[in-house]
Amino acid sequence: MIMVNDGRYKVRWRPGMTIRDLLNDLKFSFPRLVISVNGTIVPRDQWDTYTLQDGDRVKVIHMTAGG
Amino acid sequence: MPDPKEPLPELTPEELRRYSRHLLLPQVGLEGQRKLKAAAVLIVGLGGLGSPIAMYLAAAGVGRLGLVDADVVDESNLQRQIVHGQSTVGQLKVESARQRLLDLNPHIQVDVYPVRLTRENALDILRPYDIVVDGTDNFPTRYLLNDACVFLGKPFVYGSIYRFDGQASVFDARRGPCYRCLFPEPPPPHLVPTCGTGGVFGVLPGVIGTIQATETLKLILDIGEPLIGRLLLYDALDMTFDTVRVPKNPKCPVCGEHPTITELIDYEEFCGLTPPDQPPAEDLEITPQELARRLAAGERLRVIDVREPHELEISRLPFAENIPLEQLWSRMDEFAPETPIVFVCRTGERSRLAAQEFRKRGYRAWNLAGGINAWAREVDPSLPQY
Ligand SMILES: [Zn+2]
Repeated sequence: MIMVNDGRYKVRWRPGMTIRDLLNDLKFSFPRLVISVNGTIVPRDQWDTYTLQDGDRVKVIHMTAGG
Repeated sequence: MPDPKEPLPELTPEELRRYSRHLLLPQVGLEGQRKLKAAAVLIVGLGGLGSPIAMYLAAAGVGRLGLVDADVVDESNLQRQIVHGQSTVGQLKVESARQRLLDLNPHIQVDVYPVRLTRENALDILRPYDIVVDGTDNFPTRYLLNDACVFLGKPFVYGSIYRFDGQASVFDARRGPCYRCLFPEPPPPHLVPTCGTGGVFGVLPGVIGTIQATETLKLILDIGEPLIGRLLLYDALDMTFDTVRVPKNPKCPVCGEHPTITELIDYEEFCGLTPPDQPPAEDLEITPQELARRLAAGERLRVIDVREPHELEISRLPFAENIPLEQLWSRMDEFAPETPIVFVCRTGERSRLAAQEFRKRGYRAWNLAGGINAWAREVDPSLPQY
């Protein structure tokens, strides 16, 4: 199981699952999301190759503009 | 940071009394307080974040504060922008803030820049300051500040807020990542909600701005662990703080190994705010009187209110359909290209984005100028304005 945003979403893990697969499963399409896995940001150019492990904690972070 | 070769300024007897609680702290002490007095900090934006940043840095005795903001104080700012007050509504924010800060601490110097920061003036304005603190409310200025700080080798104390969520970090390209390492590109402008369109919980900038002030003071004093290489995430509803590690991106276009951005660029264009295919704003606008006339003439048109459902409880137009802006983009195929559409929101800001995006895709779309508040002023005074 992959825990997303402190358990707000739970996604079934499968072997070889990449960050891109996870976002597709979640139907998250908002451009310019930032993703951390187990507390470290993973750059966008690694989303297709970074494979998640069962139990990974993923955080989906939005850019905010307000001040 | 203050030039280590320069002798630190002495504190007067009044200053010693004022800063007593700092002088008692071994991590600050007399030397630290003199470092604060020698420091110069630039605060860009005197809004929700800038208010507590400026007040705490002034109270702490930072010797020189620079304030940048071209706006004037509006009554709707006072729900969160605590450096201003009812008596300064209508004044320049930098002037309003200067009065308040010098009342709080007359021993400091406050410089004001009532201008918009641009690629032309940014480097000159930033240069005399040791640290730049982010109180801006938009992406173009944030990217501008980041790049300028990378070029000048200055720490950039970042903060941003939206609704109940806040973020903070310290970007210092000499010691860690920059804002672009974390956020290489901004989202397209029609998907960027601002506090003026999405709302903001009034205490939220108090929390984030105070964290930015804390980090600024730590940098000056050189104490503790700065937020360099870490992004702090605050959720006021869940009341959780989380930090994630932000690696430096070796391919970063401004602070990476082979930078492609080596001077300030056009940040409005970079953020997609002035694309060449955008129809001029005036062609998109329809006045409340014009809309009223066309409706009275029985013209077939759809009026779409893009506000969120809870806003309709405050005021609503009986002839409008409600499709919140977030849902609109996925429902474009529900519109016929030949039927005129008029988009409405509170002030015409969100609905203008809707009208622009629909125009680009060939729809006959207009924006109600000034939103439902203008309709209330000019056509139906029985509606409340908010
Ligand atoms: Zn960078």
